[in-house]
Amino acid sequence: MSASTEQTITVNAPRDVETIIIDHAFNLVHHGVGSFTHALAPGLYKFKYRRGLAIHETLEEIGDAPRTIDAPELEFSSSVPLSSTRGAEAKHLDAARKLSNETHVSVGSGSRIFAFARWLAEDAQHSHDIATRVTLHKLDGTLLVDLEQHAVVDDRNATTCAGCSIELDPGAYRFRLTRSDEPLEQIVVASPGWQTLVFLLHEPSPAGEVPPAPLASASILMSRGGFDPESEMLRMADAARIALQEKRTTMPRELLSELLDDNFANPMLGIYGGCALATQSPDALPRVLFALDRLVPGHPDVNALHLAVGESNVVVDVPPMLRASWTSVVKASVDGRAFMNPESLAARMPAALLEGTPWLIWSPNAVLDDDDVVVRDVSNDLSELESCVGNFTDGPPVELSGAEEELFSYLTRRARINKKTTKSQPLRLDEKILANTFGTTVANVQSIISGLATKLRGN
Amino acid sequence: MGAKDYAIVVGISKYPALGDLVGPEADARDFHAWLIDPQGGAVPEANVTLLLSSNYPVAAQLKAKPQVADIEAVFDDFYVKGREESVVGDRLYLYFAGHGFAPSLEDAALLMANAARGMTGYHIPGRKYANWFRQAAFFKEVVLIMDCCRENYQLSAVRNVPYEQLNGDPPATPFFAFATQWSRAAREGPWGDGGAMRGLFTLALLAGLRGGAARDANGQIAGDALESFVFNFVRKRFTEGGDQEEHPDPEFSYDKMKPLVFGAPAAAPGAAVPLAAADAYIVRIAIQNGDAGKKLTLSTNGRPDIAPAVQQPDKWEWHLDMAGLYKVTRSDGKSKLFEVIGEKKEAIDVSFD
Repeated sequence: MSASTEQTITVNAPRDVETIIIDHAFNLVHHGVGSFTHALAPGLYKFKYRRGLAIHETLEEIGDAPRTIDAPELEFSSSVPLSSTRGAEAKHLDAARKLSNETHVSVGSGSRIFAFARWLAEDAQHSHDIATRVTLHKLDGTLLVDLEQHAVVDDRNATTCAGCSIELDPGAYRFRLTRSDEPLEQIVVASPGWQTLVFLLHEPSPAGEVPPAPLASASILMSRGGFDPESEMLRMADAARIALQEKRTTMPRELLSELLDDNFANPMLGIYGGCALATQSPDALPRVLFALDRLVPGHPDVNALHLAVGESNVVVDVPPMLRASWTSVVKASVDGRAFMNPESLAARMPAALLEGTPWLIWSPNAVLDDDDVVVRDVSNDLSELESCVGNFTDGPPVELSGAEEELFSYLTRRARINKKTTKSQPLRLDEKILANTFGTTVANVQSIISGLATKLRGN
Repeated sequence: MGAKDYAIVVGISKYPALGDLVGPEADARDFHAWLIDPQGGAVPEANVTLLLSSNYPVAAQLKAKPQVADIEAVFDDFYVKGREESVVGDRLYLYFAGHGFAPSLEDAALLMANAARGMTGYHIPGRKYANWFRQAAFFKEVVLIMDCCRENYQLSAVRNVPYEQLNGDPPATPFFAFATQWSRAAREGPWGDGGAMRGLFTLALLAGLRGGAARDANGQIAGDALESFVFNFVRKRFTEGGDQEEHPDPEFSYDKMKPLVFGAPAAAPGAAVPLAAADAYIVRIAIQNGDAGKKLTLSTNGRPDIAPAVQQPDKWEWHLDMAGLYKVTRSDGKSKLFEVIGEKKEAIDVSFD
């Protein structure tokens, strides 16, 4: 291990594998994606390989000669039944491939959605104990397809996978999963000429606990024609989804940089990668947007990426699929760069959203009514609330909804702060500041202000 | 250093509705001990707010404390002082341990003692507060450490910092560290003294801060060295524990070009100084049949032959000042690479088998 000239090290790895090289004192030396070469001084190193959520480490001694190192095979967990993912059974791969190329129900033309759910073998029985219903709805909530009625299952008596391929008009739809009478839903976009692939994995959970909602870990991909479990493009798109969830940017940045040419044809890789890069590497976004505008023009998540780079005058009626996109939309709507029609689903999104998932998921029971989103002047209500909350020292005198309670606590806290402030101006407040504070739309905030003011007025 | 630093340290072990944890309170106490240690954070004790479950009487869920308001009151004091005087102090430490969740992928939150499933509004969005104080520049540096196991997915409204946006110039330098993705089972184990339950992330962090991580030329520990140490510490533990997909890496966020430094300046340890076992990583090789009569050489980059501290017929032992990668070579040419990481007092047994 004497000091000597650096040697060229070649790492051979699939494109969606990240390799991190760490020296003898645990300093990061290099972070590579896929196959690459790097010069290393002789010595001891740790090579850490990451694919999806799977990690493997090896210790290597680099000597006085060039060296080639092959990354180990890494199986990672995914909702998508891609070959060589953990727990992916051959029968599931075959079923997904076959069913995605069929049509089980037709309610329009020009686009397709394929939904595929599977249960891991060791947990199938437990998951089936919880009745689950998957339905597809129009944006106004009208039921379009009950997937249970049309889905093809592998075994009626012991289902381990089920798929349903729908032919429909291009547009955005509400994809709803109801379990134990508790519905959750998210947007699925069917783009012209594309098939949107929605994969759900019913995951195991500790005994006695309700398994996590499969929507939270869903994977959504897009294909021109059917699902191919061997597709490297789909594998990379799913890896970008996991990177987005894990807030990792190196892999999507490298993948996009390598793949963004005239032939780029992977919208979900572009959307996942674009969202991952939006906050940390916005310089890379214009090229991504150029490609996405060509592939899936008008897609709500692409519109949100335009907002993320600072564009203005965007009308948003349809909520996007991803939570990061929604954050961009809300921010732009508060600062006046985006406009939501009051009757649109976007304007009626509830404040409470499913946490810890990259998807924008909400309860349809909490979507605002038409009456709640009428644009109104709530400045008097707000002034009244600001001046009266200090009177309720023992808390609210009436029962409040969760959102109203949040606003009540928030206003009482501000009143306390203003009381402590002696030298500077009191804090200013309006519904835009509140929308920003609560990370939701102005319409939501106006509805909460009116509701709280009405309840407190009687006391 | 440290005289103008402030800290909020929270360790919540008692959750009437979510189920108790054991480690957070011990972890918070240990972090507090490092903070006020003159060789550690050197923060005046009066500048540290320590909130622990045991500070409060046992209560039913809705009355259980500490609650959001207990922490908000301290933040509000910093806010009011900063708004009126522009500056509060040099460095702000925020340490949170307990149950947690992620209101969005961009945030990590500590659930308060009165939280319940479906009542996740009772939380402190740690990252948002840290970011707000960083942006306002009431402090020159902001350190956020969140050691929270994650609860199941919940529908929850976002809770943001209620102060107006202030843009200090320059904003404070951040060092944020999160272990918020692990399950309850992965978060804590009997890893403390005498088998006491401790959180793995805090254990790793404090082992690094107390000398495990590589020191810089001033004898201090830079943020990037601390990150490397913690990554390798927890990964080593998880490698022993089986399924690695259950244990995502901790997340660090800081300016890699200008990482903060921790601890009081001290002389960097010399490479060849003999160390007492209590201050060292102990590498032990029990002499097996194949080793008998053969010389063993321990080496790492730049140190080709590290002298053993113990050389007996039945075992060889080295006392090392630095965590890292090492190689032991037997005189017949057989060698083995291994990793030295963990708490210094633990012995690491190496075998050629």
